[in-house]
Amino acid sequence: MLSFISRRIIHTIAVLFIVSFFSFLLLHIMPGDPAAAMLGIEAKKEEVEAMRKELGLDRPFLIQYGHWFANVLRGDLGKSLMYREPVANLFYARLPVTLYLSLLAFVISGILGISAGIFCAIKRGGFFDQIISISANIGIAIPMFWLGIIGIYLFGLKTGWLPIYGWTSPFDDFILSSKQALMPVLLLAVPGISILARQSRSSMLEVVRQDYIRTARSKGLSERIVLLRHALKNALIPIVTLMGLHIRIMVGGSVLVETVFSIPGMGFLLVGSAINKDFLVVQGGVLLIGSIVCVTNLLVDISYGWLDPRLRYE
Amino acid sequence: MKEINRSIKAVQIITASCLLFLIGVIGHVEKAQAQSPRYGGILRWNVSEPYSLGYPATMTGQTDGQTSSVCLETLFRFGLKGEIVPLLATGYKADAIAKTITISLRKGVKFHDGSDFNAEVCKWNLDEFKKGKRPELKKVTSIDIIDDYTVRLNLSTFDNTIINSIANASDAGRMISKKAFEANGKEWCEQNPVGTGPFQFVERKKDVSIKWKRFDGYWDGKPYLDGIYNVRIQDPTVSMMAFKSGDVDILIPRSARDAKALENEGKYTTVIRPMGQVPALAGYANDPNSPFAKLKVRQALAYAIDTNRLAKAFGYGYWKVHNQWAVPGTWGYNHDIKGYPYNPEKAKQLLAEAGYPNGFKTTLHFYNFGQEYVDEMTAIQGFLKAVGIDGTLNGLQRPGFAEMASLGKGWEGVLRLQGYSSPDPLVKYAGIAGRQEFVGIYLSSEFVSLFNRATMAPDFETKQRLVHQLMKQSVDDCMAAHLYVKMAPIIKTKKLHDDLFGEVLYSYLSPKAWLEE
Repeated sequence: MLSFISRRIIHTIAVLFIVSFFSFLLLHIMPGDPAAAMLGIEAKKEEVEAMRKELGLDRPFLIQYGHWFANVLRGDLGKSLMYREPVANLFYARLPVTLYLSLLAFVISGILGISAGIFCAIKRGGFFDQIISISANIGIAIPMFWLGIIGIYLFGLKTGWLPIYGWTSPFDDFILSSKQALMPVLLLAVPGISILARQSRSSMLEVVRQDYIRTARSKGLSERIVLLRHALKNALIPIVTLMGLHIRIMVGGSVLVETVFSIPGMGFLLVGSAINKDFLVVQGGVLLIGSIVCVTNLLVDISYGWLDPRLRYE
Repeated sequence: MKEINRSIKAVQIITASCLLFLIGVIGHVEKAQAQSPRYGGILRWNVSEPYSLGYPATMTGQTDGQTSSVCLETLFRFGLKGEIVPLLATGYKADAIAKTITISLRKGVKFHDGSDFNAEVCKWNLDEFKKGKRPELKKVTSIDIIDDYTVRLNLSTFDNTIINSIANASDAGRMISKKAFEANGKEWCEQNPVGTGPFQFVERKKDVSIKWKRFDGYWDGKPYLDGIYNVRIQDPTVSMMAFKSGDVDILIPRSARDAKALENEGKYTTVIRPMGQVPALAGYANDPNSPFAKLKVRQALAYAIDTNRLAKAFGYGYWKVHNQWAVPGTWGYNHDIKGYPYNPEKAKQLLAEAGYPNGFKTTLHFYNFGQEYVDEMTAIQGFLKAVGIDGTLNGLQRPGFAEMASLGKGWEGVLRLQGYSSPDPLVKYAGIAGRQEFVGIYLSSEFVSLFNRATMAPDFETKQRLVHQLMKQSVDDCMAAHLYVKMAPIIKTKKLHDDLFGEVLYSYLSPKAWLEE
């Protein structure tokens, strides 16, 4: 297992290097000059050229990349062109916001999605199975952006139950923070609940038909033990894979949710930075998100061994 | 008995009359009280994210200056008709022969940190701005302190537009505390503005909000409002809902359609900004092989577009069609110019005469700031195609557009120029005449010569005459196909009074603004 983890860490570093190089390249190929963007659309040629020189943007691409990479190895992600503060500081302030929302949504979607899926599998063909299956299909198909605007209209503007936008840290004002986070978290969780409900249902249906489940029942075990100890554990492998993938989807989804609700998280930061070609922030963000995804994949792979001893690595 | 009844009726009538009178008086008093300024209240509006809030030389774009203007005052500001009004200055005297501008400063003004505003601080501010290599004060060679409250700007060449730059047309005249700068440095000042304005900086949460509180020691009397709260809402639909729900008091709608919808509700105050964006189409003329290097092609481009129809369709009554850089209603506007009114047949004829009887293919570059811009450019694309100019749309984000406009990179077809009009058209022209802005545009030596003479004009009458000639020259050269002035409406809560927000250029908020309870 240790050698497996070591190999995966080396793979991760290689992946991050390749991803960072290509994202740096893409940002440089994209039309537009960061210095011009920083100075605004009415900037004068002289100002733009002076700013390019000051920021080192007049140097060749490979030298710029090499300089950035050498700094990253020293733990320096550089300074944002637009925010004029170290990229690490920007991430330090925003990553907890995105993680807070994403983890809450992840937990909610995990609990509700898997429970709904199991319930549907047990009550297959029944009224609730049909209702939940239809709702899950709607939840997958509906655009998150549209759902957000409708939510704001109904619960913010019409009823006034929830705030329309904004972010407050739960440590500053827990009640206000919870009110502000409710809609974004639910919005992030909806696709997860829907996908997990469908996957859990089909996995469970497949497992409950297996011989060892029949054997368990014939041994006189209670239905609860049969389902939770024997069926669910075996049905979990595709669900865990899906949950691992879903973390990536949530990080992507947070871009939309944070934009709609004006939440100062990583998504909000990265979209604005990409539009304005604040490439040091985007580079740092790619590196960070890449690391999160690689670590998640590693954890998913390790969990397979726990769920199914046949898959344990030597 | 009858008499008693009559007496009772009389008493009843008198009592009723008295009651009605009292109700009327109370109502009148309440109404009068409601219309009297009162202290208190926080005014809230949405702003884009500023980058530098408190160090003028590194302020970029319009957002920075507009956001901090409640805190950092300028030497002059613009009045309701675009005239220069003293703010931290009390007046100025320009001497074209001596090539100087002498500015007298207001006495008794204190910064939020308690330090004094005087000639030394003013000179230091202008010198700091010059150090930032910004072009606005390029012609200022040195600044002399005449006395405690008078400074003199010595110029390499006389330039009558400098006074606009030290009003709030740019950030050159914005005054910050020298004491705060010396104690904390430039980077601190960028994020912690210390000025002389009616509101002082409290806190900034990046991408969330900026808080300002009333400055009780303000030189023009204690402001009525307790503070200002700027929020950051990215999505225009959410921003509109926040306004309708009362979460913000002022809305700058992203599109004319949204503004009209709110205005039609009749529940809000609508003001139209005195200046607006002045879009125009300019073909790349720096290359002699470009079709747009030919006057007839540029004229065909201008004749091909029905600006009246576009303004009607997309402007919802807010956009004004015009035919020159100067805005109708300002002193620079030349009423004798006829321009290029819509005439597709003439456009086709001019193209044929220029050697393009079957038209040609090109690219229409524009700043894609939302669906309204795409719709507008799609309509323009249709008008151009009808005369034979077959353009492919290329919507650019801010970096791409800025690069094309400032450096000319990638501008091989038509670029939709954009920028805000100025009360002084020479300010608008400065970048173009110096090949610093919209660098692919056609530029004749006659135009540059007229521009230079106009900026050096010693008095207003001469300047106005030369500016009118300049307008004519630019239209004769057909430097760009002018479309319209996009007068931008601002929607406000009816509870806000005496604020001048949106009525005066560059988001000025009057310190006398007050909110009803």
